Amino acid sequence: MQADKSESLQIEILDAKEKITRLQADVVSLTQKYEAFNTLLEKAKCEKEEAQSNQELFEQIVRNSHELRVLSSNCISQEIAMHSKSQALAGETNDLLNHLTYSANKINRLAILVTRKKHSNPLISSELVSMLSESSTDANNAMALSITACKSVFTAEPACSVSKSTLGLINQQSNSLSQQLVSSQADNNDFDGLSKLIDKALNSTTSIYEKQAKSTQEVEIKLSDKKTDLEKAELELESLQGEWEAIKAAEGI
Amino acid sequence: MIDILSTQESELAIQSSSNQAAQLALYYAQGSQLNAESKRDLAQVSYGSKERLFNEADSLKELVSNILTSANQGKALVENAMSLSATTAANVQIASNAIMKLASDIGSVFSMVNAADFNSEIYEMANECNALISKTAYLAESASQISMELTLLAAEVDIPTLNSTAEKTNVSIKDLVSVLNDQLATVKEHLNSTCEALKNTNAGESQANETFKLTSANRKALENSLILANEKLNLNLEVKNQSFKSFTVSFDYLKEPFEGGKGIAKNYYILLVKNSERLIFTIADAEQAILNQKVIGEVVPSETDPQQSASITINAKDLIDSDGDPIQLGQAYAIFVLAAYTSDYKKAINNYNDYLSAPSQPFSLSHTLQHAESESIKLNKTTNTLSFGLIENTDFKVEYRCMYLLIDSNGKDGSLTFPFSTSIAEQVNAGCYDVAHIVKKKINEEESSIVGTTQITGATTDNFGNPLIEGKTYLPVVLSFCTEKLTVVNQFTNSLSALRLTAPFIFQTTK
Repeated sequence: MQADKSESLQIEILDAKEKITRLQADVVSLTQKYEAFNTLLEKAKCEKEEAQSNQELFEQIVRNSHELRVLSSNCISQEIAMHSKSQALAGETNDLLNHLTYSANKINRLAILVTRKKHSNPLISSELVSMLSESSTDANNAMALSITACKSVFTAEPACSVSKSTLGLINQQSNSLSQQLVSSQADNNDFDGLSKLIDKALNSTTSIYEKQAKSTQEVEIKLSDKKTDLEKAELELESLQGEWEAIKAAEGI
Repeated sequence: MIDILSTQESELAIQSSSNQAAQLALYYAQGSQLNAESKRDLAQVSYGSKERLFNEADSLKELVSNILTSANQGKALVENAMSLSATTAANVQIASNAIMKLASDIGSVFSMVNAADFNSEIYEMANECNALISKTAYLAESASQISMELTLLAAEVDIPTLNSTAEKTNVSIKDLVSVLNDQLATVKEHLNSTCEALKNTNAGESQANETFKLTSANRKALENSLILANEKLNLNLEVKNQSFKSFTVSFDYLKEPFEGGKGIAKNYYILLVKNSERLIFTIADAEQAILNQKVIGEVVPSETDPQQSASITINAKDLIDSDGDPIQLGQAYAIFVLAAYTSDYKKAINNYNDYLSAPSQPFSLSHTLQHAESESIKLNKTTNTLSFGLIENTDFKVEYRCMYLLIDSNGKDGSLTFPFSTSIAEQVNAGCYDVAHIVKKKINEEESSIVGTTQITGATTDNFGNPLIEGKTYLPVVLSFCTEKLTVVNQFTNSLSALRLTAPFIFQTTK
C-alpha cells in the first residue's frame, strides 16, 4: 500500500518536473519575445520622436513663411504709397518750377521797367529800385534752389520705383513659398507636398508606436502569466517532494 | 547474411539523423532568409519615404535662398530711396524757403507801389508779379508738405524686419534639410546593412539546401538498399498501417529454390518482441514463445495462393508480446516471423531446425491526434480571427498551437519555401505560436466536435518570432499537441494540419 503510494508519488514528481522544464522553456521564449518587442518599441519611439521634431522644424518654417508673407505684403503697400507720393511730388515740383520761372521773368521785367522809369521820373523812390534789385537776386537764387530740388525729386522717384518692384518680387516669392510648402515640387502633381508628407510621417509613426506599445504590453502580460504558472508548478513540486520526504521518513522508522 | 540488415539499419539511422539535422538547419536558414528579406523590404519602404521627404524639403532651399538675396537687395534699394527722399525733402524745403522770401519781397514792393500810386504800368506789373509769386509760393508750400510726407512714408517701410525674417526662414529650412539629410543617411546605411544581411542569408540558405539535398539523397539510397535487402534476405517483412488499435504485418512465403519454387513451410508464426530485445531474440526464445502460445498470429499458407505472401491485420486489443506482457501504447516493438518447415522439406535437407526471420523495423502503437481539417482553417478578415474545426476523442488533453508561416511572395507558386513538418512544428517555441481557445461539443460516447479560435493581434508573430507584416502572405497551420502527463504522453502522436490543402491569407491589420 505504502509502496504503491510512493510509486505514484514518484511519477507525480517526475510529471511536475517535466511540467516545470516545459514552463521554463516557455518563460525563456516569452522573455526573448518581450525583449524583442521592447526593442521594436524603442525603435518606434525614436521614429515617432524624429517625426515630431521634423514637424516642429517644419512648423517653424511655416511660421516664418507666414510672417514673411505678411511683412512683404505690408512693405509692398508702403512702397506703393511712397512711390505714388514721389510721383506726385515730381509733378508738383515740376509745376512749381514752371510757375517760378514765369514769375521770376516777370519780376526781372518789373525791375528793368522801374529802373528805366526812374531816369524820367525822380519821384520813383530809390528804395523801390533797390528792393526790386534784391528781389531779382532772390528770384535767381530761388530758381537755382528749385532746380536743385527738382533734380533730387527726379532722382528719388526712380529709386522708389526700383525698390517697389524688388519688394513686389519678394512678396511674390513669399507667396509661392507658402504655396510650395503644401504642394509637391515633383513633376508629378499626384505627389504630396512637404506639409502632407510631414503630417503623414507623424501620423504613421505615432500609430505604429501606439500599436507596438499595445503589443508589447500584451506580450508582457503573457510572460507574467507564464511566470505565475511556473511559480505554481514549482510550489506543487515542493509540496510533492515534501510528501515524498515524509513517506521516506516514515519508512525509515 | 542477417548481419547485413542490422548494419544497413544502423547506417540508415545515422544518415536519417543527419538528414533531419540538415532539414532543421535548412528550415532555420530559410527562416533567416525570409526574415532578412522582409527587413530589407521594410528598409526600402522607409528609405523611399525619407528620400521623398528630403527631396521635397531640399527643393525649397533654392527659393528661400532667392528670397534672402532679394531681401538683401531690397534692403539696399529701400535705404537708398529713403536717403534720397530725405535729401529731396531738404532741398524742396530750402527752395520753398527761398520762394517764400521772394514772395515776401514782392509783397513789400507791391505795397510800396500801391501807396505811391505810380503810373499805371508799374502798378499793373507789380500787381501781376505779386499775384504770380503768391500762387507760386502756395505751390512751394504744398510741394514742401508732400516731400515731408514722402520722407515719413519712406521711413515707415519695415525692411529690417523683413530682412531678418528672410534670414530666419532661410536658417529654418536649412535646419530641416540638414536633419532630413542625416536621417536619410542613417536609413540608407540601414538599407545597405539589410541588403548585406540578405546576401549572407542567401549564401547560408544555399549551403544548407545543398547539405539537405545531399543527406536526403544518401538517406533515400540507404532506404532503397534496406528495402531491397529486406525483400531478398528477410521475407520482405513489413509492419504497416499502425494505429492505436491495430497494425498490419506482411511477408512473402519461403520457396524451394528449385522445382518452380514450391512452398516449403507448413506454418508461419508471428511474434511481437520488445524492441529492446530484438538483437538478443533467438530461435529458442521463439520456439519457447510458440510453445507457451505467446504468438500474435499464425498463417497456414495455401498451395494455391498465387501471391505466395501474407498480409494480416492484427487487432491490438488484449495482445501480448513474446514475454507475455500486454502490448503497451508508445512502447517500441519489432515483429519476428518463425517459419516451420514442412517435414518433407526437413527430411529433404536433413535439417530439423525451423527458420526465424530477422526483426522488422521497430514500430510502436499510439493515438495519432486528429489535426484541424484543412478546409475549416479560415481567417475572418474583419476581426482577424483564425478558426478551425475537427473531431477528437473527448478525453484527450490536446493543445492546438496556431502558427503563421510566411510565404515567399516572390515565389511563382506562392508556396512555402522552407521544409515544415510535425517534428519541426513541435520545436517552435512558446513565443512563436498562439494556443487556440477551444469549444468542445460531444457528438457521441467517445468523440467531440472541437472548434478552435484565436485572434491575430500585434503580439502575434510568425513561426520564427517576427511580427506579421502588413501585405505579406501567410499560411496558417495548426499543430495538435498532446499535453498529457509524462507517463502517457508517448502514447500519442502529435499531428499537423495539411499544409498544401490550407488556404493562405494576406495579412492586414484591422482598422
